[in-house]
Amino acid sequence: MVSVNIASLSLTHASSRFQFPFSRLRFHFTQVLSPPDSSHSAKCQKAMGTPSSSVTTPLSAWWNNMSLSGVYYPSISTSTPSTSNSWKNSPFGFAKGASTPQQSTVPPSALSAGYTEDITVAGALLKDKINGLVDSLMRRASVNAGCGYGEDGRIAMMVDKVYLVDRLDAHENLLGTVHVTTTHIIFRAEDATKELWLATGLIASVERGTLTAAGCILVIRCKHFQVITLLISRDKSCQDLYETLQRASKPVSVNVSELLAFENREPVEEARWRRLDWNAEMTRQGVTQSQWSQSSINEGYTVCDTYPDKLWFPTAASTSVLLGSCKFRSRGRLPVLTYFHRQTGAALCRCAQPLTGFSARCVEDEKLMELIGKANPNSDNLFLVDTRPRVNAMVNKVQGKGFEDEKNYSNMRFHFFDIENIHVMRASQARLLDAVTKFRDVADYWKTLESSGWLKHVRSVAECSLFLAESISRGTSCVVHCSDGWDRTSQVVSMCQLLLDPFYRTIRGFQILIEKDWLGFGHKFDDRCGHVGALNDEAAKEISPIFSQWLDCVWQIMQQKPRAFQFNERYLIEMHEHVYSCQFGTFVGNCDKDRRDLNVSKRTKSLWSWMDCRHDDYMNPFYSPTAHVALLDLDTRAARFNVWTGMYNRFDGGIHPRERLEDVTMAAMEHVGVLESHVAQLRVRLAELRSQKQNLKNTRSSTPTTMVDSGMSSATDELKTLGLTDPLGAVGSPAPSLERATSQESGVMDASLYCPEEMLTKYSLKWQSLRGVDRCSAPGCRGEFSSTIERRIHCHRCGMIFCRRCLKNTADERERVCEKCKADE
Amino acid sequence: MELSELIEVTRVRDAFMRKGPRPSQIGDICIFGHHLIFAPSAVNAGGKEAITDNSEEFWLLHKAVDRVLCEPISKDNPQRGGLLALKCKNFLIIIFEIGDIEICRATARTIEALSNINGFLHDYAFFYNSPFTILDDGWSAFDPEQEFARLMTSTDAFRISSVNENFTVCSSYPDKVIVPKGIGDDYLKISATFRDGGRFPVLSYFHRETRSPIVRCSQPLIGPTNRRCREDETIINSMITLNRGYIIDTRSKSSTTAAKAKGGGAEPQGNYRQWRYVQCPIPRQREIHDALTKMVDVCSERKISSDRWVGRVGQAGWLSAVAASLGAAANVAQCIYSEGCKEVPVVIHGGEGVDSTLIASSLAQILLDSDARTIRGFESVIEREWICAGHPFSLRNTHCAYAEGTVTGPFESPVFLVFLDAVHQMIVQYPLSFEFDEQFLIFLFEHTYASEFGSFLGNSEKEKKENGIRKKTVSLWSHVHHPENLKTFVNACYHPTPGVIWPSVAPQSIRIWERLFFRWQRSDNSWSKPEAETIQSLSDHWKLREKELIVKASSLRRSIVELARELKVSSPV
Repeated sequence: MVSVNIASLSLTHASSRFQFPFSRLRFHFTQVLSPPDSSHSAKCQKAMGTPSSSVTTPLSAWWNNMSLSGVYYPSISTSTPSTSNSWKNSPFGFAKGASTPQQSTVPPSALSAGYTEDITVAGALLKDKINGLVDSLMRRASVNAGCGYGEDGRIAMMVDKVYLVDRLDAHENLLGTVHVTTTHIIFRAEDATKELWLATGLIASVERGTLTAAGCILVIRCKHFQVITLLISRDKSCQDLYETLQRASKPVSVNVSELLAFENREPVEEARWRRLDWNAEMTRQGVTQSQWSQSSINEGYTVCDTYPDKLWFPTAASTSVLLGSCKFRSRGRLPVLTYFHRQTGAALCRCAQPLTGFSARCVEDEKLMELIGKANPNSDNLFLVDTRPRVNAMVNKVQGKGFEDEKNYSNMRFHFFDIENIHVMRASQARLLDAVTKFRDVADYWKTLESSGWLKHVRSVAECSLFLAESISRGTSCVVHCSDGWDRTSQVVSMCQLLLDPFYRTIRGFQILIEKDWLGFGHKFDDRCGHVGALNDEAAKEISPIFSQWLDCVWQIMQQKPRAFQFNERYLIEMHEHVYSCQFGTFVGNCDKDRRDLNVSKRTKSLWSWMDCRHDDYMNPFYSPTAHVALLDLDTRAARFNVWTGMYNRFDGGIHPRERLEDVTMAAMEHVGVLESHVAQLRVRLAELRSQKQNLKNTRSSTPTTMVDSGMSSATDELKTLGLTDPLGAVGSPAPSLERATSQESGVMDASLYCPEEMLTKYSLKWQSLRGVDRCSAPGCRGEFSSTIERRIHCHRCGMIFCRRCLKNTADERERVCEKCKADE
Repeated sequence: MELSELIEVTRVRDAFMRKGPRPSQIGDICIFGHHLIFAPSAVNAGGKEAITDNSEEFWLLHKAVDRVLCEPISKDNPQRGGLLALKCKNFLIIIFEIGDIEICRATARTIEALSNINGFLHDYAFFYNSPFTILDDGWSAFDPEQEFARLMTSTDAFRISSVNENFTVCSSYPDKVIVPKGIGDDYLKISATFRDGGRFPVLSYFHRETRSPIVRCSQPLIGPTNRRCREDETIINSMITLNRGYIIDTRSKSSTTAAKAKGGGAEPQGNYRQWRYVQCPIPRQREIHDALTKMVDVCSERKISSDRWVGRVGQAGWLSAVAASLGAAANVAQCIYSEGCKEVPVVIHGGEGVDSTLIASSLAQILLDSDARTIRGFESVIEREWICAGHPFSLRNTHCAYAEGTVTGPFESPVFLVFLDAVHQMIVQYPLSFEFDEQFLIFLFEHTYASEFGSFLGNSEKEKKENGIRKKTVSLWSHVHHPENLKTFVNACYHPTPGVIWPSVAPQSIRIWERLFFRWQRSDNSWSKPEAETIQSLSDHWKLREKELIVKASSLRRSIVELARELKVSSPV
């Protein structure tokens, strides 16, 4: 991938302008979505009015509202993955014919295309090309001297004569140079056909193979499941590179504020940084003062430092009850409201395990549970769900923790669920990755898959969530905890809400859900993702793919209910990548307090605003907001859980479906929108020409006419008429309205609507097929798409496929066009 | 024999269909010679709204029933009646509750007898009159002479031979076969004595672009004494023009060795010097049969744990069989299409050359040829490579996955279903490249087991002729080609890929065919349309809309250009 796209242009935020491309969907959408802010709802209404009053067709109306500016962020990934030689004569060998690379060269000029500074180092890199980079890095290294960084000057190193080994054996090994910077590892092919960027944050492990005659193999495994295999002829350089990469991925002493995300130098709008407004969200859920109210007990994070500062409790609970309960719960994580089910009045609460030991009890905690039960108008009883297997919970008793005794809580039914702990999940995922990367034989693959137990774990999360969702929809409140209440609890609580509330299945709602139940209630992203690298064994044990597993579980549900989600698989995959990439501050820190202390919202960029700019990449063309309300008919049979190949084999292009119905449909929808507006333009022009002809005839027949104009003035009016009626109406329909239209006073011609015939008929009506497209069509770019999941975007004029950075919006933001078509304008 | 002799019970009143293809309901079971008809009682219990779909009669061919089970509802209290379970060959399971245990047993015996009649002469196909006018007769649609005439347009290296007239040389070949041109019929006859079942080498497919032929035959009868046959070598070698050819053996090394001891074997390198011998093992028919049985078994277990599920799917071996078939086909295609090399002949054989050989040769054609990915082309592949090539459909498809015991024989094996599943894997990976959809494959699967059409009756062309199948029955293709039916199988998103497709055979890419194995397993009585179909129809909708608009826009453009030109002429301003 020729990822020269490092710098982002000024971020034109489309965050709150959050619209739907398809009128059909938009109407439903506004009904379902209770707008969290007024500006949003106003926009929605405006959009609803669009199709009838505006010249543009629904889709182009959307283009208007959507910011499509070619904001492009470093895409770290590359196309062909690589791994050890076990893939020689691989099963994917048959892909040869299909994926022979076009040996196009990328002129170096592409490297210096206009970019604004974003990440200092990367910006410098783009300006001065790679040679300049070393200098800038050296300077940077001196700034960091004393932090264990680059004192020996090796932090920025360059190794040439490196071969990039293609693990699918579909291509020749590529000769090139590896550059290591503080932020990225860059492989650049000698013939410039390929450039591979990898944020250091994404390195999971580096392994050195044995020395052979050809050289030494270095395998870099990434957190987003890319595997890069390098072959270095000189043993010495291999060792150097190995050490450098080790250091880059696992700095000796570093704190979280040295992550890439903090390199951001652009001013950040505080308001847009966050998605979640606690008050608005609780109001949206329908929380009313009579039963639940906000407590300021955790103001300044004094009571519980891993909770947000705003918490909701039963209105009847006094501060002393809350403080008492707080002392009785592990890490002070007392039961607190996270979701209120408006339809039944039942509530979903979360907490950490109680400090019961073998016999301890706490009156306040019991009182609080009772009040939570009472806050539900339907039923005083509540389910207390411990997501752990019973054995694990028993073990905790020895440490003075444990689980509630049903006898002490008058209104409670207790349930265990067998979701295993973080260590089991970590091992399970490692085994899963073995299965999906190493095996060629079907039987071996399934055997390893079985031994990984990954699908079992994913299923157990889904089953527990479904139990919660069913209970709540039947009107029984639930309280959930595991050990500390930030891993398994976050998984099932958020999954339960996803099942219950269609709002969370929208692109924006999903972000709010994550910000609420993952970020807000303190899932330890720093520790679980190993953002700063595991410094010791202790820290290594904290790493676990809990959030990835949850995304996996969401994907499983999407497979079953493809119309229930506004977003697609790509949304989850890219989100996963950036949870680990550390380019955005959103997933930095272990809890809200951490992020406040680090001042992330000022110092880093938000993943959400980056995602807003590519909103249309994440749209699910099959989404129907009315198809489902609650997904309680979820099928949790073992057979319904599959391996998420799109995620774990993301960079193994050869094994994905070569044609994706979803993408084809999305392109068809976009094309339909463009065509509709084009047809409308054509109709206008046709009407004009007809009236000209009419005028001509009138003049010929020597009847003096007052209709002076050329007919162009009728354009707007004509289209309005058309817009009100069926835009797809019969071709001949303009005739009756023509007379009325031409009799209008000759107004100012709307230039945007007037196109000469040449313009109207110049561009191809057919769009380039998505099939087999692996490079951008722009002659100056020819950038390779890094994976099958990466979106191929059509130019609205010429219909060719480009990568995101080669497409620009037209001045009126109505169309997305390539540079050549833009220049033609 | 009269079918009516076998019928003990003609009508069972007020049977309760507990499980079946639609929500449970009460009705009457009527048994006729070929069909079981379930007629729901008119009034729905509980006064609920009658759903129109479910008030219709439900017809089931006896042939479609694989296994009949009958047991009392409660062992202690036989008065409560009996349960009659019909396990069908398309994996549907129907369970009736019948009030009287004796009637239930009699019904079971009747259905058991009717569904296990030996031979196919009593099949419904011989009694079926097509309710539609046959516009495009399937029996004549794929005439070998015409196929040959088409072949002649691209090569003249082959000729059509009538050596097998009256099926004297090879009983499983059709009477007309295509063979290399320079070879006389006498050589073919001698070669037939050297090949298992007399299946001498015949042309299966000719790839125009590379001018490479695919030839199939059965194993050579080398035997432990290393026999050789110069005539056979001459035939095989006559296909070599520029490059060395490939002999693809679909057996594993061990089964080839075992075959040699029994008089079969494989071409020794020394006698066929210009050929490279490659083994691409596809499981044998018994293994395939066991694999399907295990697969259906594990798929029908609702309460299975995840670990056991994953483990048993792996052990079942069905997916391995599909992957192996696809792999073998991909190897054939790669031999043919190895870049830069033209005129590379490929000879495919296994043991008898009627099972795995056909899987490899037919799948290879689908990979190589975009024509084979259209409905008609696909039918042609099935007609040529399966029906005419002598795949013993009647032997293989007497029973499916459920049947057990004495009614089953050693020859039953869902070989054709492996082929269909492999095509399904390709459709999953290339959803736009096929003119037909999954539904068509399922349709074919059901009709190979129980059908009112004669296409899949008999074991060879010889049997077809002897029993007058082509005259007395209706061809399945006649039904498919009827416009009304055809449109239900068409993939609206079809956008042909020219040339070769290279599907992945990595284990992750071989998916369980959900529509096949889980079609009858609905979660909690939800009878709504499966989501996949809704998705498909949405895609179709947008794709059609796009096409429609393109047509509209281009017609508008045309009239604008014309009008503009007209104006320019009339008023040169």
